[in-house]
Amino acid sequence: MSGQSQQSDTGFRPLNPSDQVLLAIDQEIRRDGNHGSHCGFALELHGELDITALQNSLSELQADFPALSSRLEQRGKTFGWKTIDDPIPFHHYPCPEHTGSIAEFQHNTMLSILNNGTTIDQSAPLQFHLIDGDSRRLLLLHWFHPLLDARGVKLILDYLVSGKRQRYTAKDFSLIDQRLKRWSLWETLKMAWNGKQYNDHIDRLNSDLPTPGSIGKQQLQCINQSFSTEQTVTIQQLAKQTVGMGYHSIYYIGCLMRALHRVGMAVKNDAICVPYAFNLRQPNAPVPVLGNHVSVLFSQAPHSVIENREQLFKHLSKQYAQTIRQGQDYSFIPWMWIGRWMSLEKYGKVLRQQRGGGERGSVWFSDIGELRFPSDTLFGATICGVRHLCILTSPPSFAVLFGQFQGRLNIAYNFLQPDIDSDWVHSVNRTLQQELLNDSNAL
Amino acid sequence: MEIRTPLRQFVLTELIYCDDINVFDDDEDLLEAGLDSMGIMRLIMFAEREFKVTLPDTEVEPDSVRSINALIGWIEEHRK
Repeated sequence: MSGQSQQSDTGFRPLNPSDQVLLAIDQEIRRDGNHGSHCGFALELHGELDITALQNSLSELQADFPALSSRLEQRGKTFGWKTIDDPIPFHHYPCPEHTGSIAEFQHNTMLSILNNGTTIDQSAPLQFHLIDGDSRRLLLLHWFHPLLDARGVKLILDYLVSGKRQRYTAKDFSLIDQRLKRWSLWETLKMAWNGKQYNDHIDRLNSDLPTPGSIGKQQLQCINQSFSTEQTVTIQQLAKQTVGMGYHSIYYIGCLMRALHRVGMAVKNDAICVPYAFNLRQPNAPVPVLGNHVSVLFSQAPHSVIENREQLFKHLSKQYAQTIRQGQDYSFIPWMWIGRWMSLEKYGKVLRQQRGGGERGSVWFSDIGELRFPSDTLFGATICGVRHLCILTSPPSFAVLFGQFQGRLNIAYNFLQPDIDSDWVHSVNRTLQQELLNDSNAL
Repeated sequence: MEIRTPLRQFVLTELIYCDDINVFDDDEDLLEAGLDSMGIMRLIMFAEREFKVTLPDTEVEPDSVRSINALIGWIEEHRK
């Protein structure tokens, strides 16, 4: 039904339905005065990095994936990537001689890169930034979200260190379009109906928000929390005991709801609603590299349920199991297909707003799971940590991103200032640690 | 009803990626191969639908889902 070619011979690559969702969100972010839906994934590197080899690899990457050097273009109602043949941008930030704190220099440089974007028609889909330090450097992959999802960025890193690059250059396709093609018209309509019912159900309760939001241009800030390997093992065991092995992310969401409930949010309504993306990519599959292949699910609980930890996890597990059992996880896909024919402004509203006009999502959430690279090194340097960044809409102006690397759970709190106060984020962090470790004396 | 063939087909083509499903051994570690929490949920739904069994969430243990053979053992146990 929607099987159009991803790459035409004119070098124009149309967005898939999931990319279009991210483009609508990009427009919402720009309407707030910020620089669109940009994300960052940074590797902490220890030891000597062979910069020449890295730059050579970027040229090879570009040759294999021309859409990585392109600009967004609109043709009629279709948006897509028009190849421009410029090199993939690579910027190097030497450490100033008289800098106070190197960690602060690196952190502020990263934030400044994301806070100083360009207009939509000038936004490079992917850029690399090398930020020097003393023993540790940061290599930041900065991407424009309509280009690809976080798993795609991980695949680009895999490609750079892989000796078998042909694995990543095989057939390119949209998993969303592929899924749509599997269904008959009747099945598609049934899915769309399921999606509407699911959304209506979520919209019965108005969501709490950390800020009323939208006061004009703001600055992205980020606070990182890393757990020890021992703490991470404890958290994983607690997750399994509390919600079972199949509900890993639900444990994080429940703990986050509890922390937000305990700390309190600026706009208090009926419930906390946490939207999260599920990825249609198969774990470890090397293709497709480009494109977003995600759909949306929600976890929602009223305050009366959140108050009781045991009751909350029962509620969330049941909600999640029901969603999967009833096939509601795929039910947004037909709507994403229809969304391509809406104006971006209308689509943005549909995606964000509840019937009553409030923001549906109380917070942005992501769990990218355990990150494993094919090699521990990248062009001679050892990969010793990862960081995540994303610009978001206002409201909710607050994103909590979970990920695990080398057996350690990491949380990145991304938030917009002055919408969100950093003291409040520190309070949420302290309370979330207690909830994850189920220990009020955890700190 | 035979379990192995449809189960292999579903797990290896829908839930995890492997270059060649014919060389994937039935004792190979599925969790190492990338079976994640959402994959486990989908697997339970698939088994319940296809093999007419009920697999309790409380029994979702690493040992039950570790390999194709472990999964077959788990499903068989509930078909009795």
